[in-house]
Amino acid sequence: MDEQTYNDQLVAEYLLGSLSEEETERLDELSFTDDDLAERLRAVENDLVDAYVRGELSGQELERFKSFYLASPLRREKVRFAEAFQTVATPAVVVDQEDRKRVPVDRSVARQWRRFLALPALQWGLAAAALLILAAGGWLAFENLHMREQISQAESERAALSERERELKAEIAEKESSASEKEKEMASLRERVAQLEESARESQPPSLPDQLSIIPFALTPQSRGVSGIPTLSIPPDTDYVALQLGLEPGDHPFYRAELKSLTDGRIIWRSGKLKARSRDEGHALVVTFRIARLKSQRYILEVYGIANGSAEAVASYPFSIIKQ
Amino acid sequence: MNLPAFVCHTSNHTFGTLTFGQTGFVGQPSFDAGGKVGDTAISGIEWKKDWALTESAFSRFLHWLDEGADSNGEKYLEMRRRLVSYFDRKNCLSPDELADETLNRVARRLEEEGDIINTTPARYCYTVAKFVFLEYLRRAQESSLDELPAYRHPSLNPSAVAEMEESREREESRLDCLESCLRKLEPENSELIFQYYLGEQRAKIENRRALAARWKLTMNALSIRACRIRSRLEACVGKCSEGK
Repeated sequence: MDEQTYNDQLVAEYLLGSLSEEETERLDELSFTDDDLAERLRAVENDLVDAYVRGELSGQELERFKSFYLASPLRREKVRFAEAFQTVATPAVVVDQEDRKRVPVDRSVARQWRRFLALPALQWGLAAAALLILAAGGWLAFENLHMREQISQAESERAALSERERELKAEIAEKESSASEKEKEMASLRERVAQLEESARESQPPSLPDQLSIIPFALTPQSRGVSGIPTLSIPPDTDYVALQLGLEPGDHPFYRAELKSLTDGRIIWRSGKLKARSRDEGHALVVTFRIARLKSQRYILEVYGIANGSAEAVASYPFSIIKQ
Repeated sequence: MNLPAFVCHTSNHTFGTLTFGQTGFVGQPSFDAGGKVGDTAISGIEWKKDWALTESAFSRFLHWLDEGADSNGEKYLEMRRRLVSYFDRKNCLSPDELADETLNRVARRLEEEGDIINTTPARYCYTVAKFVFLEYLRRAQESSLDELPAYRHPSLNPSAVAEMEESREREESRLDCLESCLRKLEPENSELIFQYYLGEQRAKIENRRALAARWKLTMNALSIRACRIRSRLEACVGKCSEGK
């Protein structure tokens, strides 16, 4: 047979039913009588089917393949064989059945995976695994719920503790405030004491101005009965009166004196810390105060001995003032 | 007669009442106890009923096909393949049955005439096949679509039908068969078939050229050899798939 009477393209068109009736009949006869063509037919058909499976056909050729070639069950079987052969024989591609686009993928690996996943033992195993996962999921859900409850409880306890902490802090702050107030009070008291001492120092006459008029008197401690109350007659223009108070023997390092009205008991004057002075006849205190504070009436000086922070009444000196 | 030892594609087709694949080489028709075949129906169409193929007629037929050389039945099998392909390209519903009907008629003519001269066996087979095909067309036109069984109704979308028919299980089965058949191939044929289909488009052509040079074959001879190996594989896979 002359090689020029057909070529692979013509044979492909013959297989796709695209040739004229005359040309088809010619090749029909040659497919019986020409051994070479009979072989070429198979080879071209194989290549055509492979091209379809690989997604290499397009346009009219693809359309003819779908509408004519695939109409036969035997030829469809060839396509299926070619697909299988591609899977086994070549680093294969997956071809989308709709548009025959080729998607590279290792089909042998995919097939091995499919077969592996299709093993009954594996499927039972997967089912068992699924059950285990389900059970584990349920247990985890239960544990999760339980933990949530625990967390909620812990949060409640933490909130209560926080509240208690706030209360304690408030209490501490209150106590600190109270201590601070007490310290302030103490400071105020100290200040007051200092003022009193200053006032006492002011009441001392060590450096009295010369032009001031001072009348000195000496008083002894009160004896029983009031008939013996001394009267101090104060001349006009007298500014101060200085009283020397005789003390019975004692060991108080300091003393304090208060001048009270015998009429209503009101304290008129209060001294600061006083130290006893030695005299020939014993100890004596000297107190000085302004006469302007006094009226003509009876008074009493109460003397307290101070020792170890406590005061003790040691003597009283009643007297009468008569302003001239 | 020496019969071919290799397996070739056949289905459980009938040749008259002959059933292939039961005795002798695969594809060889078997005969009833009387050595004759009876009536048959092909593709829902009744064929000639007044002749039956005998064993002696079949032997004469094989001898005639061999044209004096003993092909071990290869010529018969090749002629049958060409007939099946021919009827299949004509989109006939049962190419196998039509091929067998053709062979049956040729054998009958040969039996009746003693010899067929002035033409080659291949050309004569083609001529008879044309008549069988024309008869098939005429009878098909006479029978309405409603008379055909549902599974023989033409489909509007062959591609969709093909996809519907294909199931994953069958694909897996086919792949298993293919792997099994590949293992049965001779090592050199196995290497050749794998090498032959390596690459794509231009790379594939270059690969085949190099392969032909390595095997000291022309491109055409390489193509024919690869094609024959593939046909063997197809037949093997077909038989294997039917057995599953």
